[in-house]
Amino acid sequence: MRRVWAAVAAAVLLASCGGGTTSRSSVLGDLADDYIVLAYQRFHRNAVALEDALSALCASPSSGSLSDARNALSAVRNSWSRTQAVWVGPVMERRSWALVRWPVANDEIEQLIADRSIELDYERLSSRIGADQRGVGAVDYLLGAGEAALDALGDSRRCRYLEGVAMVIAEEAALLEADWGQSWEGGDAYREVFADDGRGDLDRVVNDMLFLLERITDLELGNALGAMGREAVPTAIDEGPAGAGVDDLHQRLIGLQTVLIGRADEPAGLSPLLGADLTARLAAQFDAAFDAVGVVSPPLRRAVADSPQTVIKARDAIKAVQITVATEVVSRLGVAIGFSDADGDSSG
Amino acid sequence: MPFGLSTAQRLAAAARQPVAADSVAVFRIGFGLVAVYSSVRFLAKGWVDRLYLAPEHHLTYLGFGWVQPWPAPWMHLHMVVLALLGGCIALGYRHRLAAALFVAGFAYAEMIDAALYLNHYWFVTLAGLLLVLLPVHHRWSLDARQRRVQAARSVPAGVVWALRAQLGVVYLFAGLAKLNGDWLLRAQPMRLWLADRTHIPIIGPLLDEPLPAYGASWAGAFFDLTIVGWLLWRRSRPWAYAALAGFHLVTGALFQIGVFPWVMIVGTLVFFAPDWPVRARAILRPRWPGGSVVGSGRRAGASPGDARSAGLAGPVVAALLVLALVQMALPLRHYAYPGNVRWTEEGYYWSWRVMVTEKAGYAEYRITDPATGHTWLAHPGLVLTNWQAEQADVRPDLVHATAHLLAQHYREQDKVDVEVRADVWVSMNGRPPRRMVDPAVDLAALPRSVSPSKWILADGALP
Repeated sequence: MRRVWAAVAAAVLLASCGGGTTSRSSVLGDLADDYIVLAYQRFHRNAVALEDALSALCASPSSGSLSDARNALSAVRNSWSRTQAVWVGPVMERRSWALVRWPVANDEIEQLIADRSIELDYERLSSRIGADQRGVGAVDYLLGAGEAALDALGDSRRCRYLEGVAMVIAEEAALLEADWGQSWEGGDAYREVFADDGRGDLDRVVNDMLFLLERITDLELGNALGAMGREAVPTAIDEGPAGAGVDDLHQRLIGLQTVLIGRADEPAGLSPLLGADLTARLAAQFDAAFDAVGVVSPPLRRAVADSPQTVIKARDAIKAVQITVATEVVSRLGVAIGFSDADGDSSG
Repeated sequence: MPFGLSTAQRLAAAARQPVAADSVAVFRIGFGLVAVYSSVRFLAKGWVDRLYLAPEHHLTYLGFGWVQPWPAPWMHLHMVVLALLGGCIALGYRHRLAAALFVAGFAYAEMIDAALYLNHYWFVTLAGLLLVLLPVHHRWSLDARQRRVQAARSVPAGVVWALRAQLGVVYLFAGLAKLNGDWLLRAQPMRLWLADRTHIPIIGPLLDEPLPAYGASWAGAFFDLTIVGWLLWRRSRPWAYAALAGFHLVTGALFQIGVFPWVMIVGTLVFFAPDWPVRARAILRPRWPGGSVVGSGRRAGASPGDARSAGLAGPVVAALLVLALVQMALPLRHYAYPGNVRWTEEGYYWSWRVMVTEKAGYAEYRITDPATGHTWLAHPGLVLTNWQAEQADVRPDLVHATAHLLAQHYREQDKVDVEVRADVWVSMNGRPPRRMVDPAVDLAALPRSVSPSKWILADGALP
């Protein structure tokens, strides 16, 4: 009998110490180390590069420096879009999106620039103007399309606005990188909090992915296509002069794929928790989604108007991913255990 | 049928035999206390507002659309009254009236929204009904002390049997519901549930392995199917009760099942000898006056006179028989429907299918204006709260009810009779998602009925 108890104790001890390679905590830790922290580092690097590119553009406006600035903006937008699949923790607490990306109001930006009584310093641009007057959308608007921006940049306030907005983005990127990699609210890095919490953050990650998918399929594409109401709403797609809507879609899908199942050049995401069969099915669905998005000709708003069938197919393909996440992934990860919130004993 | 008649006569005679009224009195007290706790908890957690008052619409049960919550603050008051009635039941104060009002009030709250359906709410309703019918307030009650009823130290054995049967029904049908391929051969949904508990200290890492899930599934089925037998057998009873308490405490710790474990832990004390409270008291305090009447539990301290005063009248016996028949029929009615009840949920309510499926769903509703032919998607959030939509995503009857609510919404808002189709995908017990509802069917045009719903798509993959 003593042997039996010893064996049981040893098994429990082993189990409690070993943890296993697919524990949720270790998977979340890997996801943080191998993807999220790196994604914010990349975003920060790109934001600093945008600052530099805009300074260079303002110092010597030319076709070349304008092109460099637009490329730098594209890199910032893309790296930001890739983080969206895991908008948990600092980015939500800090409401970073209000500083980095929000649909902009062009008229209000012009009013701010025109009102010479307003000092366009960092303090003003970071905390005393609306979210719709800054971020990558504002930079996109001010850089515009074609070469027209070069003439406009003769106005020093325009350049100050551009550089100030870029600085706000870069500062926010630096803070997010530090939150995840160094210290969060004076304590451990959020990476540690994220991995240790396990249960809650896994729920938040999956729910964030679901929210992002619903945002893409219903709020953006669905509304733009007129599938969500009696009227089509083309402005549901937030796409500036750069016409980067399709690229943005692509980047967000990459972020989702990386977090869910990983990519060839990225870590495994949550796939150790999902199992091989579900991972394979999701991989096929992502492939189909990438193919369908690849057929859509940018800019996205024009594609909605001119070739809606390609957008509908892209939306359907993304919807397939959405359904799998909302059902099987949720179920497999226990994100929405079906007990009633009240007092459940029934699960279906 | 002389043998059958004789058996029935013998049974009837045995049911009339007096036994100590102690255990049924404790059942009444325990029930009342759980009722108080449950009602206070409901208020304290803000569920009255969130579950009854916040939703603009409720997903009503078929034929019970007229059951709507009181406006604030009357719904809060309703819960306060339920708590007070629970206290009256526990104290045995005007017991029958209190129990009848409690059952009516509890059932009313239960019937407001089908998305709130819980098996243990149904159990509380039924047990409450038994407390109305049975003479459980002649012992340790204010009614007896204040002479509103004749004090009695015994009740007919049938009273104890009825309470035991009520508990036995829960375990039996819960056990039968577990006899399916998912539960026994795939250890699902146990694997999903346990894998979600790996953060628990010490045992957590074990829970991600298949073996504990298979063990828990088989043990759970064995437990449900046999526990009543073990509780009835005197020799195994203490061990069975300890196992039962352990089982419910563990499941209560692992899963979010509210007061259910306490309901069953307290309720199943009735399987002990009818005089167990006096025996227990005698063991704990040998000089307690009640200790002198300790006996077999069958006749000790009990007399036929007592049993007559706390007896079962003919109409009560008839009501009990009807109640028994209804309870046998309800869990079996799903055989009248095509398809698997775990998928279709036709015959799911009130059938003790406790924790046998895990579903996650995705539903979108396609609205068509027949005048223009225009079709658009409507989010269920238009008419439901999140917690209602979560349930409606996986339960066909609630999908149907949601379609009707959406049609009503557009009728009131836009003055048009729209068509409502639902595209619903459900993953059950970890399977790949499958379409649950025929997306071509205009659900708004179909009246809700108890007839089999042909628009529910079959899932042939279910074992």
